[in-house]
Amino acid sequence: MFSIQKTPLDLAALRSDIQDPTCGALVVFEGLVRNHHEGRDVTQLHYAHHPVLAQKEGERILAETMAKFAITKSVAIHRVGTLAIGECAVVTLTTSPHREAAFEANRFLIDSIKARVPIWKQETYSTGEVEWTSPCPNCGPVPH
Amino acid sequence: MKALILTGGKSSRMGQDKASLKIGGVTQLDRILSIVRPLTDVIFLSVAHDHTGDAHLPTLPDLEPGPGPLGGLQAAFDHDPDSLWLVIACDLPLIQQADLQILVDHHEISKDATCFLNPLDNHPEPLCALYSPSAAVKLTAVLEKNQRCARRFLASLDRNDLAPSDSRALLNLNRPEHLVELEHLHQNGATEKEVTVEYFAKLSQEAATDSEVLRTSAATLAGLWEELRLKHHFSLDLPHVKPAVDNEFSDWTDLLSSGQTIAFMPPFAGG
Repeated sequence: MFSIQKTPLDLAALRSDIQDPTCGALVVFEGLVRNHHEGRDVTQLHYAHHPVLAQKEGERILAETMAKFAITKSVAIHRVGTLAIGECAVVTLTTSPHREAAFEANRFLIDSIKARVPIWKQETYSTGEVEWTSPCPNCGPVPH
Repeated sequence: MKALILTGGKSSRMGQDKASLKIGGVTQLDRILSIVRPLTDVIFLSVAHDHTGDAHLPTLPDLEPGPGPLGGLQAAFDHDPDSLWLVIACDLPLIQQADLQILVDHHEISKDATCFLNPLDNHPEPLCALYSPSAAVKLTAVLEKNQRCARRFLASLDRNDLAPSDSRALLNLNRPEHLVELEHLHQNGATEKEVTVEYFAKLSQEAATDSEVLRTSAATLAGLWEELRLKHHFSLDLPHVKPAVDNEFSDWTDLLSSGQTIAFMPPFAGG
């Protein structure tokens, strides 16, 4: 399941939904709102998206993840709207009988979401300036 | 009047010499020659300082290495300071003979230059213009101050600003995707379409709107983007923008048709 939502993520509910008695591994990645970017103090983030394409591409990525890795279930949710420091902006969950597949699938899932889903973030700085940010060059190579 | 054709050099974005690019089987240089010849018999090719090899036309080498486009005009006035010079670049594939005729017909000898305001961005276009001998003195002064921007030079002159025959007449040939656009226009002619364009994130900020309905005679997404890039002075160009048509990712060389909704998206930054 891939979805985009404006309201805060309920991680406990997601975790219990995805649990499966055949799975010995559950990997959860949470992307959190950081208070700094390239040396500047960030006070809040605003996420915008292309509603139709973001949903379509997210679903395509989840289908690819399921096909590519020996995992049992996967879920990814991205938030949009205005988020405070420390809030969870994106979460990816993967379960598998053994941990290796869940780890690898989770990495693929989050990297692909960042690279391919039309979502953008606008940072507000402590100086009051507001800017749309470019993708982070340190995030490394992204899969396709 | 004498004419100077700027052949440019190897274009890094295009990956090759623009003068030899073919559209409809004709090189850009031959096409420009064909529209200049009816206006004057005296035509020179502007070439690099160290140019060797045989050109089939008289050449005017730059007086020094790497002077930029103003170096061509400098060499032209050095050759004949008393002539009116028609300067035209090879990378204007949509310019017509009628446009050059407009420049000639409306030239006023009291003005330094007669030129077009590019309808796409409202800037005077320096590389398709008529320069009077009075521009030569000002050019020398500008080059002595090491100012090499042709657009800024033209902006500083006493000008007669005109409108070209078509809003896209001064479209530049800069990227491989533009060649596809121009081949389509050459083969099928220009047809007007009405499309809805949506901008996202940084692009919507720069355009100061989320969407607009507009009429265009562009053939492909790349052709439409080039128009809008100039119109809104976007800070990003085609390699950093992703297009979508009717809610599906598309290629820059995909054809436009009426009624489509086109999205232009800056680099994604989720997570």
